Amino acid sequence: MRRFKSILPILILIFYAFPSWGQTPDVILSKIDSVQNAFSDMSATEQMRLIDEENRIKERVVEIQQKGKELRMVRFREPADVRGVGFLRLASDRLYLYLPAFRKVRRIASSATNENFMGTDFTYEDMSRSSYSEDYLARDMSMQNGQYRLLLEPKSGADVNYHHLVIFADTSNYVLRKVEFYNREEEKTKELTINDVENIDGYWMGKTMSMKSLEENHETVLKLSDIRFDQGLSDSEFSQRTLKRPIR
Amino acid sequence: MNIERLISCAKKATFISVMLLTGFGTTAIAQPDFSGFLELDKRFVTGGDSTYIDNFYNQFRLEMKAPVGSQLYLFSSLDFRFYDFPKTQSLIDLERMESQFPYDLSVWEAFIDVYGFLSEDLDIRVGKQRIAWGRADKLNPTDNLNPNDFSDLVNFTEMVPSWAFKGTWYFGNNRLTGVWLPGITPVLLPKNGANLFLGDAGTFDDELQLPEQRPKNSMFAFRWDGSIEKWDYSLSYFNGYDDIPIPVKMSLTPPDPPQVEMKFPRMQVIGADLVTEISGIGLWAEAGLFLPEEVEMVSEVNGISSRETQFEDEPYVKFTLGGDYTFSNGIYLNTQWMHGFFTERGAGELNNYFIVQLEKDYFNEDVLITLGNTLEVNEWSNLGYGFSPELTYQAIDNFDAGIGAFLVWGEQGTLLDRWEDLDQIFVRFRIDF
Repeated sequence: MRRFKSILPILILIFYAFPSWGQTPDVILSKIDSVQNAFSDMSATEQMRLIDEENRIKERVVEIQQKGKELRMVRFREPADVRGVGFLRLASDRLYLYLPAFRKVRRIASSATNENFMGTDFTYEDMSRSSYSEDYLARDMSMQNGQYRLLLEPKSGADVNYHHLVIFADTSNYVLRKVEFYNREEEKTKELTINDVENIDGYWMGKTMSMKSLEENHETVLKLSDIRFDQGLSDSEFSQRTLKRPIR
Repeated sequence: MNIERLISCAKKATFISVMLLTGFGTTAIAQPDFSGFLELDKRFVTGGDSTYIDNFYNQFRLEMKAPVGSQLYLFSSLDFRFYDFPKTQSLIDLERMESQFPYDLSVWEAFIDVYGFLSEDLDIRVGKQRIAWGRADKLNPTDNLNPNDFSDLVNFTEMVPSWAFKGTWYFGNNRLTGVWLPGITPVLLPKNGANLFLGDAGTFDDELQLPEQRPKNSMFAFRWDGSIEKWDYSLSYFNGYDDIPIPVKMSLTPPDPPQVEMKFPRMQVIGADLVTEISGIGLWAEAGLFLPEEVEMVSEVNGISSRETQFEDEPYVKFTLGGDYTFSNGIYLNTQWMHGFFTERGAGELNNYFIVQLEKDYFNEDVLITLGNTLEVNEWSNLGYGFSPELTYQAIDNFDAGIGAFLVWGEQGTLLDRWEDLDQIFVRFRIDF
């Protein structure tokens, strides 16, 4: 016991200096996912600023709702030419788009998920992802700038559009802070950074996200407001019936 | 259902009806939201002997949306179409604004939504509305509730809203829709272009017989929508009218010009559709079994009258099969096989159309290039081909500018042969607000 007491300060020092000690990459990835999905449901308003290489800015305003890992609803408020357009995700292969001009909900194939979402730098896949461990395996872990750095490779048969990802998360609360996206040629094509991290109603949430397309030098900055957690949204809120209803 | 519940439902129905009739009673109306678009369109027709500028319409659409409480919603839109060229034929026309600046004005849509009507699971929509049925991409043999809008040859897949009462009951992920329409709304044809869609019948002096405005001549339809695993499907039944008229009397008494009387035949359509995806490829199938009524035609040639069957009451099937895929380089491919064009009817009269559409955007969606290809196979022998490229510039929010062409070629007897003279290049500008 005396001997243990003598090494205790050393152990404490080691754990503070190397917080991942004893944790496998998959465990850390699972904790990151848990933080991202800690709430049962969430809704928010997103203001998007699309900035091109000549610094011209376009703005989008969308309402988002999510429940669990699967259910997502995104509806456009602005600009006028896409007002009322809605996107519903019931599962990775059950995606729907509502186009008010045609008064019709259209099923969209998951191959479209590698396309950018309404001119932003986020693809449909990026917009709807809340769990990385579902499709990726954490292969490598290290510390960088006081953050966990994980290399994620797609699981066999996973329907994803990236060769691999490198993600960074805070060591203190496992909040995701940065994602680097690599295409099939293993070139880094996009970078997502997450800032303004706050604890809202007991949940960690980054209120500003910036997705940069490196080749096009185009960026989408997304700010969240009116964030609400655990409102008891029912599954029926995520339906074609709701998708077709006008935004109030 | 017990008596108390019945009474409760009746009270609720009365209350909502009174609210609707009295301008929603005391329910506070939210600030109405006005939106719409202005589209300016120029068409250069190159298909004939010489190029001319078509007197095609420009369009201003004004929409008003007003949510009323959490259960009611009001929508209306005005469609204003104005033309570039005056239709003056005499000096008196120079005194008339409507001759100098011709226009068409219509209430395009006007409806009320009630969410949770009588029961939490029932939504109704009453008024002039578009009811889009079918899961194929714009080529829908089961989409028979609204008439075709052929007013723009380039966008011949459009439909016109019509007055209807629609109720939709939701059962989890499934739903049952019932629709009642008081009467037929006929097809909308292009200005001076009836023959493009109706063939020779569109070139004669004609008289149209619309069904009498009686309850027995109203139209109705039902549809069941469901999902099994990742398959979405629907089954539907339509009992109404074909919105495209058919000749029932022909008079050929020279030197008088030929005359034709036309009517809208009654028909039933049993429909089904299915959509899913396999390995990222979207796949769909849609079919309609058409059960037409027999139509007789009376011919009068030089005073001698004869009667023959113009259209048999034999069932026939129209269908569309299709799929789409987005490649990793961003190219979107959409292919469809349509058996039976909108205007074709009767088992022996249905032709095949193979459509391949490619889309690719550039510069973060600032520029979109679309290439549409249509191959018509008429009775598996005569061919027609249509090519419709378009480049759209959409770098500024709420504005897009497009330049494109609609080029067709067809062997004699094909649909596209009739359209050959209308090869055109178009330029359009649109602002949404």
